[in-house]
Amino acid sequence: MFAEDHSVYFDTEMGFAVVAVYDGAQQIPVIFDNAFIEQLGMVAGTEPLALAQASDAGADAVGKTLAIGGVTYTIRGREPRDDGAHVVLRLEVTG
Amino acid sequence: MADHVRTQIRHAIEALLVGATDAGANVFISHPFPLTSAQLPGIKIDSILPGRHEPSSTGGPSRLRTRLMPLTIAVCVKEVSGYQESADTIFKQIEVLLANNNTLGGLCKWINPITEPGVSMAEGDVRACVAEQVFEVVYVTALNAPDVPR
Repeated sequence: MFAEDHSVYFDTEMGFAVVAVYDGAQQIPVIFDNAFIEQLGMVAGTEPLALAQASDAGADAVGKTLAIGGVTYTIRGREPRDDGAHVVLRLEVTG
Repeated sequence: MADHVRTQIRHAIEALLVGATDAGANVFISHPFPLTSAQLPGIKIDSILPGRHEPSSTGGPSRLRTRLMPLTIAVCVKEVSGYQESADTIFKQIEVLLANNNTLGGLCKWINPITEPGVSMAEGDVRACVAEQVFEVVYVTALNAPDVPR
């Protein structure tokens, strides 16, 4: 069976990832996106998402923090992708 | 010729609400764009729902028409917690203001809430909450003078 190696995408120097601080201590690479959204058709906002390797953000990730670029987010959702090797973390600014 | 009474009513409600609720100066009419963080909490006022006229008992171009205009007031807030409570507080302030100024200085006969606020919530960088309540504004004009309240 062909084993895909996506680690190159998570390279923080040559790939697409940035360094994030997971749970206040652990540095992990994530591919971060924070695009504009129009919430409920009336409120301007953004939708912060981080694509991470599942091994870096385990099943207990929801509720933990993820700091990226000086902003601390709370992980509100963890959505496995494809074969489960990667997860999309849905983020909210920590209040 | 003055503005249509509908327009005068929307502007009168805007003037009534500005600075009088927790939304402060963030009161908007005819504002189709999403509110930014600096505009929150905010209030949007629109009369886009179709209303109706009561039948006239007399004829002629100057016969009086009783008009029932639905007016939608939306309260938009964006908070990590307590957003529904914040929206409820602003609606309480709006309902009291409209009840105590029920004819808008003679522009209309009365204003009544006809729905309870419907609340929608959305996730994002910060949670957004939009609560919308419909009021019915009853006003009278002559058929040939929709800019003059009667």
